[in-house]
Amino acid sequence: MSSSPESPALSVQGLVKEYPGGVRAVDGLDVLVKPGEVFVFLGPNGAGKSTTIRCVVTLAAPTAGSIAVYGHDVLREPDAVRRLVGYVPQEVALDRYLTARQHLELSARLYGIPRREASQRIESVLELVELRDRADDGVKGFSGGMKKRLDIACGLLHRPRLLVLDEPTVGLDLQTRYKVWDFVRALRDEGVSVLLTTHDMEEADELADRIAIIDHGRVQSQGSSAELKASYGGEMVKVDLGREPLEEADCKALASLEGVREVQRRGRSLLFVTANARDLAPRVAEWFEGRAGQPLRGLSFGPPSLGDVFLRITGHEIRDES
Amino acid sequence: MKKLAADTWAQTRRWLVHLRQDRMALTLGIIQPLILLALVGPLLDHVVRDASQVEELRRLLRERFATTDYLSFLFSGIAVFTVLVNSILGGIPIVFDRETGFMEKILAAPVSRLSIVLSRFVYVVLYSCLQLGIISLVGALLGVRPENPWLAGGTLLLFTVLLSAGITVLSLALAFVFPHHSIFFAITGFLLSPLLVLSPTFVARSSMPAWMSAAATFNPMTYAIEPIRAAFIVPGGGQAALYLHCALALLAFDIVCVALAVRTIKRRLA
Ligand SMILES: Nc1ncnc2c1ncn2[C@@H]1O[C@H](COP(=O)(O)OP(=O)(O)OP(=O)(O)O)[C@@H](O)[C@H]1O
Ligand SMILES: [Mg+2]
Repeated sequence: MSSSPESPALSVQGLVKEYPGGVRAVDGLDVLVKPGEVFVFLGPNGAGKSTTIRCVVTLAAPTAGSIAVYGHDVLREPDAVRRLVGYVPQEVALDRYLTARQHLELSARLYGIPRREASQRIESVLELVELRDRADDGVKGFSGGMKKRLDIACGLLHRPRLLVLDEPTVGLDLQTRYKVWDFVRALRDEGVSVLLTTHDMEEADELADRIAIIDHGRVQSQGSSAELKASYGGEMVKVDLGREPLEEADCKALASLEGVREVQRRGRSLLFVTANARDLAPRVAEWFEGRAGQPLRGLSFGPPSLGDVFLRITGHEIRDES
Repeated sequence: MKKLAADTWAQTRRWLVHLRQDRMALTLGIIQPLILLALVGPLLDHVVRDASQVEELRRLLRERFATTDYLSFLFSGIAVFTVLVNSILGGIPIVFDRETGFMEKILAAPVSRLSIVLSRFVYVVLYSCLQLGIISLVGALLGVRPENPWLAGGTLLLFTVLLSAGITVLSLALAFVFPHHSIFFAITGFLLSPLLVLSPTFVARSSMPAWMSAAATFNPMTYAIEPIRAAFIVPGGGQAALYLHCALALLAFDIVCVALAVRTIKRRLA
Protein backbone atom coordinates (compact mmCIF):
# COMPACT_ATOMS: atom_id res chain seq x y z
CA MET A 1 0.00 0.00 0.00
CA SER A 2 1.34 3.43 -0.74
CA SER A 3 0.47 6.72 0.81
CA SER A 4 -2.01 8.72 -1.23
CA PRO A 5 -2.89 12.35 -0.63
CA GLU A 6 -6.23 11.27 0.85
CA SER A 7 -4.87 8.76 3.36
CA PRO A 8 -5.46 9.89 6.92
CA ALA A 9 -2.37 10.75 8.93
CA LEU A 10 -3.40 8.04 11.33
CA SER A 11 -6.15 5.50 11.24
CA VAL A 12 -6.73 3.20 14.18
CA GLN A 13 -9.50 0.65 13.79
CA GLY A 14 -10.79 -1.67 16.47
CA LEU A 15 -7.49 -1.61 18.33
CA VAL A 16 -7.21 -4.12 21.16
CA LYS A 17 -4.06 -4.50 23.25
CA GLU A 18 -3.86 -7.09 25.93
CA TYR A 19 -0.76 -7.35 28.10
CA PRO A 20 0.49 -10.68 29.33
CA GLY A 21 -1.47 -11.40 32.48
CA GLY A 22 -4.72 -10.46 30.83
CA VAL A 23 -4.81 -6.67 31.31
CA ARG A 24 -6.86 -5.26 28.44
CA ALA A 25 -5.28 -1.82 28.24
CA VAL A 26 -6.98 -0.95 24.95
CA ASP A 27 -10.34 -2.42 24.12
CA GLY A 28 -11.73 -1.58 20.69
CA LEU A 29 -10.38 1.90 20.06
CA ASP A 30 -11.11 3.78 16.82
CA VAL A 31 -9.48 7.05 15.85
CA LEU A 32 -8.89 8.95 12.63
CA VAL A 33 -6.37 11.79 12.54
CA LYS A 34 -6.55 14.02 9.47
CA PRO A 35 -3.39 15.30 7.83
CA GLY A 36 -2.29 18.59 9.35
CA GLU A 37 -4.45 18.51 12.45
CA VAL A 38 -3.56 18.44 16.12
CA PHE A 39 -5.39 15.56 17.72
CA VAL A 40 -5.48 15.21 21.49
CA PHE A 41 -6.10 12.15 23.66
CA LEU A 42 -7.64 13.13 26.97
CA GLY A 43 -8.15 10.42 29.53
CA PRO A 44 -7.68 9.51 33.17
CA ASN A 45 -4.64 7.57 34.39
CA GLY A 46 -4.59 4.05 33.04
CA ALA A 47 -7.11 4.83 30.28
CA GLY A 48 -4.86 3.27 27.65
CA LYS A 49 -3.42 6.38 25.99
CA SER A 50 0.25 5.43 26.20
CA THR A 51 -0.51 1.88 25.20
CA THR A 52 -2.33 3.07 22.08
CA ILE A 53 0.61 5.32 21.28
CA ARG A 54 3.10 2.50 21.73
CA CYS A 55 1.15 0.50 19.18
CA VAL A 56 1.09 3.45 16.76
CA VAL A 57 4.86 3.96 16.94
CA THR A 58 5.51 0.21 16.42
CA LEU A 59 6.82 -0.44 19.93
CA ALA A 60 3.99 -2.80 20.77
CA ALA A 61 2.10 -5.16 18.52
CA PRO A 62 -1.71 -4.86 18.57
CA THR A 63 -3.57 -7.90 19.89
CA ALA A 64 -6.33 -7.13 17.38
CA GLY A 65 -7.37 -4.33 15.05
CA SER A 66 -5.34 -2.35 12.58
CA ILE A 67 -3.27 0.82 12.55
CA ALA A 68 -2.05 2.73 9.51
CA VAL A 69 0.06 5.87 9.31
CA TYR A 70 -0.45 7.73 6.03
CA GLY A 71 -1.70 4.44 4.60
CA HIS A 72 1.20 2.32 5.87
CA ASP A 73 0.22 -0.57 8.10
CA VAL A 74 2.26 -0.74 11.32
CA LEU A 75 2.68 -4.50 11.16
CA ARG A 76 3.34 -4.89 7.46
CA GLU A 77 5.53 -1.84 6.87
CA PRO A 78 6.98 -0.94 10.24
CA ASP A 79 10.03 0.84 8.83
CA ALA A 80 7.90 3.04 6.57
CA VAL A 81 5.83 3.98 9.61
CA ARG A 82 8.93 4.67 11.68
CA ARG A 83 10.24 7.07 9.07
CA LEU A 84 6.96 9.00 9.02
CA VAL A 85 6.54 9.18 12.78
CA GLY A 86 8.42 11.21 15.38
CA TYR A 87 7.94 9.87 18.89
CA VAL A 88 8.56 11.68 22.15
CA PRO A 89 7.90 9.29 25.03
CA GLN A 90 6.09 10.13 28.26
CA GLU A 91 9.26 9.75 30.31
CA VAL A 92 12.32 11.67 29.14
CA ALA A 93 14.78 9.14 27.71
CA LEU A 94 18.28 10.52 27.28
CA ASP A 95 21.77 9.08 27.55
CA ARG A 96 23.57 10.70 30.48
CA TYR A 97 26.96 10.31 28.81
CA LEU A 98 26.05 12.19 25.63
CA THR A 99 25.86 15.90 24.92
CA ALA A 100 22.80 17.48 23.37
CA ARG A 101 24.52 17.55 19.98
CA GLN A 102 25.62 13.93 20.24
CA HIS A 103 22.00 12.91 20.86
CA LEU A 104 20.91 14.71 17.73
CA GLU A 105 23.80 13.27 15.72
CA LEU A 106 22.80 9.78 16.81
CA SER A 107 19.19 10.46 15.80
CA ALA A 108 20.33 11.80 12.42
CA ARG A 109 22.34 8.66 11.74
CA LEU A 110 19.62 6.30 12.90
CA TYR A 111 17.13 8.02 10.60
CA GLY A 112 19.61 8.00 7.73
CA ILE A 113 19.83 11.78 7.28
CA PRO A 114 22.79 12.63 5.01
CA ARG A 115 25.73 14.10 6.90
CA ARG A 116 25.75 17.63 5.48
CA GLU A 117 22.02 18.06 5.78
CA ALA A 118 22.13 16.66 9.30
CA SER A 119 24.42 19.35 10.62
CA GLN A 120 22.13 22.09 9.26
CA ARG A 121 19.04 20.49 10.71
CA ILE A 122 20.73 19.96 14.05
CA GLU A 123 21.52 23.66 14.24
CA SER A 124 17.96 24.60 13.37
CA VAL A 125 16.26 22.28 15.90
CA LEU A 126 18.72 23.41 18.59
CA GLU A 127 17.67 26.95 17.76
CA LEU A 128 14.02 25.99 17.89
CA VAL A 129 14.24 24.43 21.37
CA GLU A 130 16.66 27.14 22.50
CA LEU A 131 19.50 24.85 23.45
CA ARG A 132 22.08 26.21 21.06
CA ASP A 133 24.38 27.58 23.72
CA ARG A 134 24.20 24.30 25.68
CA ALA A 135 24.62 22.07 22.62
CA ASP A 136 27.99 20.68 23.64
CA ASP A 137 27.21 20.17 27.31
CA GLY A 138 26.47 16.73 28.70
CA VAL A 139 22.79 16.23 29.44
CA LYS A 140 23.74 15.07 32.95
CA GLY A 141 23.70 18.72 33.97
CA PHE A 142 20.45 19.67 32.22
CA SER A 143 17.31 20.72 34.07
CA GLY A 144 14.09 18.79 33.57
CA GLY A 145 12.81 21.37 31.10
CA MET A 146 16.01 21.33 29.05
CA LYS A 147 15.90 17.54 28.89
CA LYS A 148 12.31 17.58 27.71
CA ARG A 149 13.12 20.16 25.04
CA LEU A 150 16.03 18.06 23.82
CA ASP A 151 13.82 14.97 23.77
CA ILE A 152 11.33 16.85 21.61
CA ALA A 153 14.16 18.05 19.34
CA CYS A 154 15.24 14.42 18.83
CA GLY A 155 11.71 13.54 17.78
CA LEU A 156 11.58 16.42 15.28
CA LEU A 157 14.95 16.07 13.59
CA HIS A 158 13.93 13.74 10.79
CA ARG A 159 10.94 15.97 9.93
CA PRO A 160 8.21 13.46 10.75
CA ARG A 161 4.83 13.89 9.11
CA LEU A 162 3.12 12.64 12.24
CA LEU A 163 4.55 13.80 15.55
CA VAL A 164 3.47 11.75 18.56
CA LEU A 165 3.91 13.42 21.94
CA ASP A 166 2.98 11.50 25.08
CA GLU A 167 2.30 14.08 27.81
CA PRO A 168 4.79 16.61 26.45
CA THR A 169 4.37 19.28 29.13
CA VAL A 170 4.30 17.34 32.40
CA GLY A 171 6.68 18.86 34.92
CA LEU A 172 7.51 21.90 32.81
CA ASP A 173 7.28 25.46 34.07
CA LEU A 174 4.73 27.78 32.55
CA GLN A 175 7.20 29.48 30.20
CA THR A 176 8.47 26.18 28.81
CA ARG A 177 4.94 24.86 28.53
CA TYR A 178 3.95 27.82 26.37
CA LYS A 179 7.11 27.30 24.29
CA VAL A 180 6.12 23.71 23.64
CA TRP A 181 2.65 24.87 22.61
CA ASP A 182 4.29 27.28 20.21
CA PHE A 183 6.38 24.45 18.65
CA VAL A 184 3.25 22.39 18.19
CA ARG A 185 1.37 25.24 16.52
CA ALA A 186 4.35 26.08 14.31
CA LEU A 187 4.61 22.45 13.20
CA ARG A 188 0.94 22.24 12.42
CA ASP A 189 1.29 25.36 10.31
CA GLU A 190 3.98 23.53 8.36
CA GLY A 191 1.52 20.71 7.70
CA VAL A 192 2.76 18.23 10.31
CA SER A 193 0.03 16.18 11.96
CA VAL A 194 0.32 15.94 15.73
CA LEU A 195 -1.07 13.37 18.14
CA LEU A 196 -0.61 14.26 21.76
CA THR A 197 -1.87 13.09 25.13
CA THR A 198 -2.43 15.29 28.12
CA HIS A 199 -4.18 15.56 31.45
CA ASP A 200 -4.26 19.29 31.13
CA MET A 201 -7.61 20.68 29.99
CA GLU A 202 -6.14 24.06 29.11
CA GLU A 203 -3.57 22.38 26.89
CA ALA A 204 -6.25 20.40 25.08
CA ASP A 205 -8.40 23.51 24.69
CA GLU A 206 -5.48 25.58 23.37
CA LEU A 207 -3.97 23.11 20.94
CA ALA A 208 -6.50 20.59 19.77
CA ASP A 209 -8.30 20.71 16.48
CA ARG A 210 -10.07 17.61 17.72
CA ILE A 211 -10.13 15.73 21.00
CA ALA A 212 -10.89 12.12 21.84
CA ILE A 213 -11.87 11.44 25.42
CA ILE A 214 -10.57 7.99 26.20
CA ASP A 215 -11.50 5.77 29.11
CA HIS A 216 -11.37 2.02 29.69
CA GLY A 217 -9.36 1.60 26.49
CA ARG A 218 -12.03 3.10 24.26
CA VAL A 219 -12.98 6.46 22.76
CA GLN A 220 -15.94 7.63 24.84
CA SER A 221 -16.54 10.84 22.93
CA GLN A 222 -14.79 12.94 20.32
CA GLY A 223 -14.97 16.21 18.48
CA SER A 224 -13.60 19.73 18.63
CA SER A 225 -13.49 21.41 22.01
CA ALA A 226 -16.57 23.46 21.05
CA GLU A 227 -18.45 20.35 19.88
CA LEU A 228 -17.69 18.49 23.07
CA LYS A 229 -18.86 21.43 25.16
CA ALA A 230 -22.02 21.75 23.11
CA SER A 231 -22.72 18.05 23.55
CA TYR A 232 -22.89 18.64 27.28
CA GLY A 233 -26.33 20.09 26.72
CA GLY A 234 -26.37 22.83 29.33
CA GLU A 235 -24.61 25.73 30.95
CA MET A 236 -22.94 26.03 34.29
CA VAL A 237 -23.23 28.23 37.32
CA LYS A 238 -20.28 27.81 39.64
CA VAL A 239 -20.34 28.89 43.25
CA ASP A 240 -17.23 29.11 45.40
CA LEU A 241 -18.25 28.40 48.99
CA GLY A 242 -14.77 28.90 50.41
CA ARG A 243 -15.46 26.27 53.08
CA GLU A 244 -16.61 22.71 53.62
CA PRO A 245 -19.58 21.38 51.63
CA LEU A 246 -23.15 22.23 52.52
CA GLU A 247 -25.52 20.08 54.51
CA GLU A 248 -27.49 17.50 52.61
CA ALA A 249 -30.72 19.45 53.23
CA ASP A 250 -29.24 22.61 51.70
CA CYS A 251 -28.17 20.71 48.61
CA LYS A 252 -31.67 19.39 48.24
CA ALA A 253 -33.09 22.90 48.55
CA LEU A 254 -30.70 24.25 45.94
CA ALA A 255 -31.44 21.39 43.59
CA SER A 256 -35.09 22.30 43.68
CA LEU A 257 -34.48 25.90 42.57
CA GLU A 258 -36.22 26.68 39.31
CA GLY A 259 -34.12 25.76 36.26
CA VAL A 260 -31.55 23.60 38.09
CA ARG A 261 -31.01 20.36 36.27
CA GLU A 262 -28.23 18.94 38.36
CA VAL A 263 -25.99 19.95 41.28
CA GLN A 264 -22.41 18.73 41.47
CA ARG A 265 -20.12 19.08 44.47
CA ARG A 266 -16.51 19.65 43.49
CA GLY A 267 -14.20 20.33 46.42
CA ARG A 268 -15.24 23.62 47.97
CA SER A 269 -17.40 24.57 45.01
CA LEU A 270 -20.87 23.77 43.86
CA LEU A 271 -21.78 23.45 40.20
CA PHE A 272 -25.27 23.90 38.84
CA VAL A 273 -26.14 22.54 35.43
CA THR A 274 -28.91 24.49 33.74
CA ALA A 275 -30.32 25.43 30.38
CA ASN A 276 -29.69 29.12 30.92
CA ALA A 277 -26.92 30.14 33.30
CA ARG A 278 -27.62 33.88 33.02
CA ASP A 279 -31.12 33.36 34.42
CA LEU A 280 -30.12 30.95 37.15
CA ALA A 281 -27.12 32.83 38.50
CA PRO A 282 -29.14 35.62 40.26
CA ARG A 283 -31.49 33.08 41.82
CA VAL A 284 -28.56 31.14 43.26
CA ALA A 285 -26.98 34.33 44.59
CA GLU A 286 -30.31 35.30 46.16
CA TRP A 287 -30.66 31.95 47.88
CA PHE A 288 -27.25 32.37 49.54
CA GLU A 289 -27.99 35.96 50.51
CA GLY A 290 -31.04 34.76 52.38
CA ARG A 291 -28.89 32.46 54.50
CA ALA A 292 -27.12 34.17 57.37
CA GLY A 293 -23.55 32.99 57.98
CA GLN A 294 -23.14 31.48 54.53
CA PRO A 295 -21.69 34.23 52.39
CA LEU A 296 -20.35 33.35 48.95
CA ARG A 297 -16.72 33.70 47.99
CA GLY A 298 -17.48 33.94 44.32
CA LEU A 299 -19.94 33.10 41.59
CA SER A 300 -19.40 32.60 37.89
CA PHE A 301 -21.46 31.27 35.03
CA GLY A 302 -21.11 30.33 31.41
CA PRO A 303 -20.76 27.37 29.07
CA PRO A 304 -19.25 24.18 30.48
CA SER A 305 -15.48 23.85 30.47
CA LEU A 306 -13.68 20.94 28.88
CA GLY A 307 -13.07 19.71 32.42
CA ASP A 308 -16.82 19.58 33.03
CA VAL A 309 -17.29 17.52 29.89
CA PHE A 310 -14.37 15.29 30.82
CA LEU A 311 -15.68 14.61 34.30
CA ARG A 312 -19.17 13.89 33.09
CA ILE A 313 -17.86 11.34 30.57
CA THR A 314 -15.21 9.68 32.68
CA GLY A 315 -17.12 10.08 35.93
CA HIS A 316 -14.11 9.79 38.18
CA GLU A 317 -15.51 12.31 40.59
CA ILE A 318 -18.09 11.96 43.30
CA ARG A 319 -21.29 13.39 41.92
CA ASP A 320 -24.64 14.29 43.43
CA GLU A 321 -27.36 13.78 40.90
CA SER A 322 -30.59 15.53 41.72
CA MET B 1 23.77 -4.26 4.07
CA LYS B 2 24.98 -0.69 3.80
CA LYS B 3 22.19 0.33 6.15
CA LEU B 4 23.17 -2.38 8.62
CA ALA B 5 26.75 -1.14 8.61
CA ALA B 6 25.70 2.49 9.03
CA ASP B 7 23.29 1.68 11.88
CA THR B 8 25.90 -0.47 13.59
CA TRP B 9 28.55 2.21 13.34
CA ALA B 10 26.18 4.94 14.58
CA GLN B 11 25.55 2.96 17.74
CA THR B 12 29.15 1.80 18.16
CA ARG B 13 30.14 5.48 18.21
CA ARG B 14 27.76 5.94 21.11
CA TRP B 15 29.48 3.14 23.07
CA LEU B 16 32.84 4.70 22.31
CA VAL B 17 31.61 8.03 23.70
CA HIS B 18 30.58 6.16 26.86
CA LEU B 19 34.07 4.73 27.11
CA ARG B 20 35.65 8.15 26.75
CA GLN B 21 33.28 9.72 29.27
CA ASP B 22 33.52 6.99 31.87
CA ARG B 23 37.20 7.42 32.74
CA MET B 24 36.87 5.41 35.93
CA ALA B 25 35.55 2.29 34.19
CA LEU B 26 38.17 2.69 31.47
CA THR B 27 41.04 2.94 33.94
CA LEU B 28 39.83 0.05 36.07
CA GLY B 29 39.19 -2.04 32.96
CA ILE B 30 42.80 -1.62 31.94
CA ILE B 31 44.32 -2.05 35.38
CA GLN B 32 42.37 -5.15 36.36
CA PRO B 33 44.03 -7.65 33.97
CA LEU B 34 47.40 -6.09 34.72
CA ILE B 35 46.86 -6.71 38.41
CA LEU B 36 46.12 -10.37 37.77
CA LEU B 37 49.16 -10.67 35.57
CA ALA B 38 51.44 -8.71 37.89
CA LEU B 39 50.32 -10.42 41.13
CA VAL B 40 49.41 -14.00 40.25
CA GLY B 41 52.25 -14.19 37.76
CA PRO B 42 55.24 -13.60 40.07
CA LEU B 43 53.53 -15.47 42.92
CA LEU B 44 53.25 -18.76 41.07
CA ASP B 45 56.27 -18.07 38.94
CA HIS B 46 58.28 -18.25 42.12
CA VAL B 47 56.85 -21.61 43.11
CA VAL B 48 57.39 -22.99 39.64
CA ARG B 49 60.95 -21.71 39.51
CA ASP B 50 61.72 -23.34 42.86
CA ALA B 51 60.16 -26.58 41.75
CA SER B 52 62.06 -26.64 38.53
CA GLN B 53 65.32 -26.80 40.50
CA VAL B 54 64.55 -30.47 40.98
CA GLU B 55 65.29 -32.35 37.79
CA GLU B 56 62.28 -34.65 38.18
CA LEU B 57 59.87 -31.76 38.67
CA ARG B 58 61.34 -29.82 35.80
CA ARG B 59 60.63 -32.72 33.50
CA LEU B 60 57.07 -32.92 34.80
CA LEU B 61 56.53 -29.18 34.30
CA ARG B 62 57.81 -29.34 30.75
CA GLU B 63 55.52 -32.25 30.08
CA ARG B 64 52.38 -30.75 31.62
CA PHE B 65 52.86 -27.00 31.19
CA ALA B 66 55.12 -27.04 28.12
CA THR B 67 57.30 -24.46 29.87
CA THR B 68 58.99 -23.59 33.14
CA ASP B 69 58.23 -19.90 32.55
CA TYR B 70 54.98 -19.56 34.45
CA LEU B 71 54.34 -15.95 33.49
CA SER B 72 54.23 -16.85 29.79
CA PHE B 73 51.99 -19.76 30.66
CA LEU B 74 49.62 -17.57 32.63
CA PHE B 75 49.53 -14.78 30.05
CA SER B 76 47.17 -16.51 27.60
CA GLY B 77 44.75 -17.33 30.42
CA ILE B 78 44.63 -13.75 31.65
CA ALA B 79 44.20 -12.40 28.12
CA VAL B 80 41.27 -14.72 27.48
CA PHE B 81 39.70 -14.03 30.86
CA THR B 82 39.88 -10.30 30.18
CA VAL B 83 37.96 -10.69 26.94
CA LEU B 84 35.53 -13.05 28.65
CA VAL B 85 34.72 -10.39 31.26
CA ASN B 86 34.15 -7.74 28.58
CA SER B 87 31.90 -10.08 26.67
CA ILE B 88 29.87 -11.34 29.60
CA LEU B 89 29.24 -7.76 30.72
CA GLY B 90 28.58 -6.67 27.12
CA GLY B 91 24.83 -6.60 27.68
CA ILE B 92 24.90 -4.10 30.56
CA PRO B 93 24.24 -0.90 28.59
CA ILE B 94 21.30 -2.64 26.95
CA VAL B 95 19.87 -3.42 30.39
CA PHE B 96 20.21 0.24 31.31
CA ASP B 97 18.73 1.38 27.99
CA ARG B 98 15.73 -0.79 28.68
CA GLU B 99 15.40 0.68 32.15
CA THR B 100 15.66 4.32 31.08
CA GLY B 101 13.47 3.95 27.98
CA PHE B 102 16.32 4.89 25.64
CA MET B 103 15.91 1.52 23.95
CA GLU B 104 12.36 2.47 22.96
CA LYS B 105 13.65 5.56 21.25
CA ILE B 106 16.06 3.49 19.22
CA LEU B 107 13.39 0.92 18.43
CA ALA B 108 10.99 3.64 17.29
CA ALA B 109 13.57 4.63 14.64
CA PRO B 110 13.89 2.71 11.35
CA VAL B 111 16.97 0.95 12.67
CA SER B 112 18.00 -2.53 11.69
CA ARG B 113 17.35 -4.62 14.81
CA LEU B 114 20.46 -6.66 14.20
CA SER B 115 22.58 -3.52 14.40
CA ILE B 116 21.71 -3.12 18.10
CA VAL B 117 23.34 -6.47 18.85
CA LEU B 118 26.16 -6.04 16.35
CA SER B 119 27.14 -2.64 17.70
CA ARG B 120 27.70 -4.13 21.15
CA PHE B 121 29.82 -6.92 19.66
CA VAL B 122 31.91 -4.51 17.61
CA TYR B 123 32.41 -2.37 20.69
CA VAL B 124 33.43 -5.33 22.86
CA VAL B 125 35.95 -6.37 20.22
CA LEU B 126 37.40 -2.85 19.94
CA TYR B 127 37.64 -2.46 23.70
CA SER B 128 39.18 -5.91 24.03
CA CYS B 129 41.79 -5.03 21.41
CA LEU B 130 42.75 -1.99 23.47
CA GLN B 131 43.13 -4.09 26.60
CA LEU B 132 44.95 -6.91 24.83
CA GLY B 133 47.36 -4.40 23.31
CA ILE B 134 48.17 -2.99 26.72
CA ILE B 135 48.61 -6.31 28.51
CA SER B 136 50.71 -7.61 25.61
CA LEU B 137 53.00 -4.64 26.03
CA VAL B 138 53.23 -5.06 29.78
CA GLY B 139 53.64 -8.82 29.30
CA ALA B 140 56.53 -8.24 26.89
CA LEU B 141 58.20 -5.99 29.45
CA LEU B 142 57.84 -8.73 32.07
CA GLY B 143 59.38 -11.26 29.71
CA VAL B 144 56.43 -12.78 27.82
CA ARG B 145 58.05 -12.90 24.36
CA PRO B 146 56.65 -15.47 21.96
CA GLU B 147 59.03 -17.07 19.49
CA ASN B 148 56.81 -16.02 16.58
CA PRO B 149 55.03 -12.74 17.50
CA TRP B 150 52.88 -12.73 14.34
CA LEU B 151 51.54 -16.21 14.98
CA ALA B 152 50.99 -15.35 18.65
CA GLY B 153 49.25 -12.05 17.92
CA GLY B 154 47.07 -13.50 15.17
CA THR B 155 46.04 -16.46 17.29
CA LEU B 156 45.32 -14.20 20.25
CA LEU B 157 43.02 -12.02 18.14
CA LEU B 158 41.25 -14.80 16.27
CA PHE B 159 40.45 -16.99 19.25
CA THR B 160 39.40 -14.21 21.59
CA VAL B 161 37.04 -12.85 18.92
CA LEU B 162 35.60 -16.33 18.39
CA LEU B 163 35.03 -16.68 22.13
CA SER B 164 33.69 -13.17 22.48
CA ALA B 165 31.06 -13.54 19.75
CA GLY B 166 29.15 -16.33 21.50
CA ILE B 167 29.48 -14.90 25.00
CA THR B 168 28.54 -11.34 24.00
CA VAL B 169 25.48 -12.54 22.16
CA LEU B 170 24.39 -14.60 25.19
CA SER B 171 24.91 -11.61 27.44
CA LEU B 172 22.75 -9.50 25.13
CA ALA B 173 20.04 -12.14 25.18
CA LEU B 174 20.12 -12.02 29.00
CA ALA B 175 19.91 -8.23 28.82
CA PHE B 176 16.71 -8.51 26.83
CA VAL B 177 15.22 -11.09 29.19
CA PHE B 178 15.90 -9.64 32.63
CA PRO B 179 14.04 -6.46 33.40
CA HIS B 180 16.42 -5.10 36.02
CA HIS B 181 20.18 -4.66 36.21
CA SER B 182 20.50 -6.17 39.69
CA ILE B 183 19.42 -9.57 38.35
CA PHE B 184 21.77 -9.20 35.42
CA PHE B 185 24.74 -8.39 37.65
CA ALA B 186 23.87 -11.24 40.02
CA ILE B 187 23.79 -13.81 37.23
CA THR B 188 26.89 -12.68 35.37
CA GLY B 189 28.85 -12.21 38.61
CA PHE B 190 27.84 -15.70 39.69
CA LEU B 191 29.11 -17.18 36.42
CA LEU B 192 32.52 -15.52 36.33
CA SER B 193 34.46 -17.32 39.05
CA PRO B 194 33.54 -20.91 38.12
CA LEU B 195 34.34 -20.08 34.50
CA LEU B 196 37.75 -18.79 35.57
CA VAL B 197 38.66 -21.65 37.92
CA LEU B 198 37.27 -24.44 35.73
CA SER B 199 39.50 -23.38 32.86
CA PRO B 200 43.18 -23.92 32.12
CA THR B 201 43.96 -20.30 33.11
CA PHE B 202 46.14 -21.13 36.14
CA VAL B 203 46.86 -24.82 35.64
CA ALA B 204 47.08 -27.00 32.54
CA ARG B 205 44.19 -29.39 32.10
CA SER B 206 46.53 -32.35 32.42
CA SER B 207 47.43 -31.28 35.96
CA MET B 208 43.84 -30.83 37.17
CA PRO B 209 41.82 -33.32 39.20
CA ALA B 210 39.88 -35.48 36.77
CA TRP B 211 36.49 -33.94 37.47
CA MET B 212 37.83 -30.42 37.02
CA SER B 213 39.51 -31.29 33.81
CA ALA B 214 36.23 -32.83 32.64
CA ALA B 215 34.37 -29.67 33.58
CA ALA B 216 36.92 -27.57 31.70
CA THR B 217 36.07 -29.53 28.56
CA PHE B 218 32.70 -27.80 28.62
CA ASN B 219 34.14 -24.36 29.26
CA PRO B 220 34.45 -22.33 26.06
CA MET B 221 37.42 -20.48 27.58
CA THR B 222 39.44 -23.67 27.30
CA TYR B 223 39.20 -23.61 23.51
CA ALA B 224 40.51 -20.07 23.37
CA ILE B 225 43.28 -20.47 25.95
CA GLU B 226 44.88 -23.66 24.63
CA PRO B 227 45.65 -22.56 21.06
CA ILE B 228 46.77 -19.10 22.22
CA ARG B 229 49.01 -20.69 24.82
CA ALA B 230 50.50 -23.02 22.23
CA ALA B 231 51.24 -20.06 19.96
CA PHE B 232 52.91 -18.23 22.85
CA ILE B 233 55.01 -20.95 24.47
CA VAL B 234 55.29 -24.11 22.38
CA PRO B 235 58.37 -23.99 20.18
CA GLY B 236 57.28 -23.90 16.53
CA GLY B 237 53.69 -23.22 17.62
CA GLY B 238 52.73 -26.88 18.20
CA GLN B 239 50.33 -28.94 16.14
CA ALA B 240 47.96 -27.47 13.57
CA ALA B 241 45.29 -29.95 14.68
CA LEU B 242 44.95 -28.18 18.03
CA TYR B 243 44.15 -24.87 16.32
CA LEU B 244 41.64 -26.44 13.99
CA HIS B 245 39.94 -28.45 16.70
CA CYS B 246 39.59 -25.40 18.99
CA ALA B 247 38.44 -23.08 16.21
CA LEU B 248 35.72 -25.53 15.22
CA ALA B 249 34.66 -26.00 18.84
CA LEU B 250 34.32 -22.23 19.33
CA LEU B 251 32.52 -21.84 16.03
CA ALA B 252 30.01 -24.48 17.06
CA PHE B 253 29.61 -22.69 20.40
CA ASP B 254 28.99 -19.39 18.59
CA ILE B 255 26.37 -20.93 16.34
CA VAL B 256 24.47 -22.37 19.30
CA CYS B 257 24.65 -19.02 21.15
CA VAL B 258 23.47 -17.04 18.14
CA ALA B 259 20.58 -19.43 17.58
CA LEU B 260 19.54 -19.17 21.23
CA ALA B 261 19.92 -15.41 21.31
CA VAL B 262 18.07 -14.80 18.06
CA ARG B 263 15.08 -16.72 19.38
CA THR B 264 15.05 -14.84 22.66
CA ILE B 265 15.71 -11.39 21.28
CA LYS B 266 13.27 -11.74 18.38
CA ARG B 267 10.51 -12.53 20.83
CA ARG B 268 11.36 -9.41 22.87
CA LEU B 269 11.67 -7.10 19.88
CA ALA B 270 8.43 -8.20 18.23
N1 LIG C 1 3.87 -3.22 30.20
C1 LIG C 1 2.68 -3.40 30.77
N2 LIG C 1 2.32 -4.60 31.27
C2 LIG C 1 1.12 -4.80 31.84
N3 LIG C 1 0.18 -3.85 31.97
C3 LIG C 1 0.47 -2.62 31.50
C4 LIG C 1 1.73 -2.33 30.88
N4 LIG C 1 1.72 -1.03 30.51
C5 LIG C 1 0.53 -0.54 30.89
N5 LIG C 1 -0.23 -1.49 31.48
C6 LIG C 1 -1.61 -1.32 31.98
O1 LIG C 1 -2.41 -0.89 30.91
C7 LIG C 1 -3.35 0.09 31.33
C8 LIG C 1 -3.21 1.32 30.47
O2 LIG C 1 -1.96 1.93 30.71
P1 LIG C 1 -1.46 3.19 29.88
O3 LIG C 1 -0.06 3.43 30.27
O4 LIG C 1 -1.75 2.95 28.44
O5 LIG C 1 -2.40 4.33 30.45
P2 LIG C 1 -2.35 5.89 30.18
O6 LIG C 1 -3.68 6.26 29.66
O7 LIG C 1 -1.18 6.27 29.37
O8 LIG C 1 -2.20 6.43 31.68
P3 LIG C 1 -1.36 7.70 32.23
O9 LIG C 1 -2.24 8.87 31.98
O10 LIG C 1 -1.27 7.42 33.69
O11 LIG C 1 -0.05 7.76 31.52
C9 LIG C 1 -3.09 0.31 32.80
O12 LIG C 1 -4.04 -0.45 33.53
C10 LIG C 1 -1.71 -0.22 33.02
O13 LIG C 1 -1.59 -0.73 34.32
MG1 LIG D 1 0.53 7.39 29.69
